Amino acid sequence: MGYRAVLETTQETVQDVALAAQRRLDEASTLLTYNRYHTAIYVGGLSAEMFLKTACFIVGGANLAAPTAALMTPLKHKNYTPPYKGDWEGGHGLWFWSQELLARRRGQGKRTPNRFMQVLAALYSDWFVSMRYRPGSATRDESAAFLYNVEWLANNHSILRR
Amino acid sequence: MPVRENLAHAAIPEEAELRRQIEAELQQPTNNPEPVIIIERPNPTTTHLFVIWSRFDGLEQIVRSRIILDAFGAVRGEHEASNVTVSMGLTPAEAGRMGIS
Repeated sequence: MGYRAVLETTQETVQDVALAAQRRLDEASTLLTYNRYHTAIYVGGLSAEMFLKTACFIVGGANLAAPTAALMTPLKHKNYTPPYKGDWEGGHGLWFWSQELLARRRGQGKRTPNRFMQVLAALYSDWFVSMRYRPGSATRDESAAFLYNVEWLANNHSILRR
Repeated sequence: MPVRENLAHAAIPEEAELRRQIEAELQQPTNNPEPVIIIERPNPTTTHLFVIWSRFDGLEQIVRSRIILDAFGAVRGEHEASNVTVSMGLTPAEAGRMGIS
């Protein structure tokens, strides 16, 4: 049985994605240590996506055991009108997820830290999911700054999902 | 072999029937033991849908979720459906494990 088949034997849950977010961030840090700056940004961006996504799901009412398929379907449904129509990027768009999270929190009367949008603006200016197809030319400073902002999401995840 | 100009979405054979039954239950709730439809509104802008049904056994969550949301949208309208953030189909055993009843 291949590795893919092993992973696909169970359905992905919110907890899986939350754990994966932290693991991808750890792996991105390792890539930075080993001077793989472009890939560190790429993997760090995936981590950011997952932190935003899980915060959205939990603010939207899901618990950690919820299968993510049940939470993604409403966002892909024809009836759904996103707060921000651009940057879907096949479900990976950082701006999409940040706006979705803000909209859900606002709808429940919850304030979001002011720093959140500054962090997202910085992440969005350096990452897009198709950057995996580029050889890359990021510098060490760019990569380190990017991961610093992803770490802010990780450290404030408990606040963002409350 | 005919040439087609569009890609048809291959629905699960029983998908339409399951959706029709959920629509019927939403329009006119019965005393039938299943499907159990739970509509939760924790706040004015958020709706959670849970359907507990033995007939979901063997169907992937993404299919169950689609069936439920399509049925809800058909009965309650686009505006209400746009507030749904959770659309989850569970068998009775799964619901028990998740503490949903």
